[in-house]
Amino acid sequence: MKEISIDSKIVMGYIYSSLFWGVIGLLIGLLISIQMWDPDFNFGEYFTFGRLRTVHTNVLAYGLGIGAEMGVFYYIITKLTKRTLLFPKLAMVNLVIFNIGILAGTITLFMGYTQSLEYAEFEWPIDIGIVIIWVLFAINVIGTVATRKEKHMYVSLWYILVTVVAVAILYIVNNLAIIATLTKSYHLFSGLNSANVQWWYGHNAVGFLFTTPILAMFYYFLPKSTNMPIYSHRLSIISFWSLVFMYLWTGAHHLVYSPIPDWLQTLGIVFTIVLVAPSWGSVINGYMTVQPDWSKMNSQYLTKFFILGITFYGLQTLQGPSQGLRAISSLIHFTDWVPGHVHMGTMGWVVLVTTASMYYIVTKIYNTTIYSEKLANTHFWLVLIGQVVFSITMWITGIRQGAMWKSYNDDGTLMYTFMETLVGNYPYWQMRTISGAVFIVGMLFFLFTLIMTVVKGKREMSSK
Amino acid sequence: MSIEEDNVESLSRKDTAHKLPLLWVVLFVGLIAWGVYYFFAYTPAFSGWTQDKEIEESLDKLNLN
Repeated sequence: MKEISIDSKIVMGYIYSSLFWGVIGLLIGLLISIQMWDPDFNFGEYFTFGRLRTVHTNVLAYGLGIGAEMGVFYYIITKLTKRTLLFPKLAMVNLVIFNIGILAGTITLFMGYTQSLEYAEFEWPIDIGIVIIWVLFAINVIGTVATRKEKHMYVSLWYILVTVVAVAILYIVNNLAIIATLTKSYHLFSGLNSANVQWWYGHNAVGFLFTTPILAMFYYFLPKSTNMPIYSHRLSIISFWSLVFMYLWTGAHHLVYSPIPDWLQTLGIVFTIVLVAPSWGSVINGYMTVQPDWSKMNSQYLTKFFILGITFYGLQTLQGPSQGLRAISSLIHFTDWVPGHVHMGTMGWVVLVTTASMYYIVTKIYNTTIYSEKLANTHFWLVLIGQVVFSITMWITGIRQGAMWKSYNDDGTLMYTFMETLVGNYPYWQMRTISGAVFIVGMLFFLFTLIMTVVKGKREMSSK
Repeated sequence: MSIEEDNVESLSRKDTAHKLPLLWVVLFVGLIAWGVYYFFAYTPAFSGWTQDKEIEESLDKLNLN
């Protein structure tokens, strides 16, 4: 074997692209974490916090997140359908369009063009590009699954299909806008409707960019890398359908104590809390899968990525719903607790499962073993420590902030000025920068180990 | 080069394929029951509760109104 297959080249193309955008997004994340406690780190007009914050979230969600998901999905799909991709050339062309789209989107954010909708900041020309990218992707995914040679639909395929369909609907609906100029548009919905649609989108972006695709990976790569089959097919399928059904109702929990109707907030909270069950269905399935032989945590280096990943998913899906409750929302909403919560999901669950999946894919595609398990383990521990310290730091200061905001004197005046509550964040924000740096060093270990595994695989291939 | 094929059947366990852990089912049913209760208790049309009333009452309690 001298060369890898065309499908493998496509998968690797998406993985390389996602790594490129990942490095940029992480470094900008580190920079804005410094800007929070030292304004001297704002440079010129392009490198100010207001612009870089959106660059950070969008580059990581769309560049790293979607890039990785497209690559990993293509890999999983060819395996589970037992056929090659239906349109490999289309996937190659789409890879180019994807990178141009993310580049163009990033530049416009640097220039300050934004729709002012969180996680939907890209202006309308970029939105059209994103929709084209996603539709081309969907054609390939749905086409390949529809013409599959394996009749049985493994649960990962269900999670992939729902990701493809849901992201399309969410992205298109929330980006409907009245165009004013090439660089400016206005949300089609106004006032409370705008807020409601935006958070329906915003929350489900988390659901269908950071939950269902990662579960697709988890259900496939956990049994593949441990050689331990998934505990219960039925549990996985019931969890799937109930998760998908409930998720789409939950967005209003972002608008608790807002002027949107009380019944709508309550309905959002109800579905948010009940969602604990389908989420934990996957957590339990993961634990029960490894339950017959926990020594795999030691003997198979990828196992701990998946098990710690699903553990953070489990914590995330307890913490998240509880935040939807009125009493808890009133304490932590608008505080730094929230970035602590978000980053446990992204840096814990998403990153651990995605990077482990990439290790697995690269060793399979190049028919080799990992370059160094020791380096992969170093990657694991640094990323784990960085994330845990990051999250806990933000939770502590978030509660402190919320409690100070809510404190008042006997005569009803506020006990603390806003400035006092803000200055209290400084040591925690500095700690976040340190833990973020630890996380990034861990990710550099990942990058190095992954690339060296490819190099090793290529060398072995050419010597055969 | 032949594509390495997965044995899809081998990804799931046979003996426990249809199992649903009892505690999980109890959790699920319990959450749905709680959800029904919460929806009725905090929907103005059913229980009369509103967030405006809640804030008024909390202010009354503090004699700040």
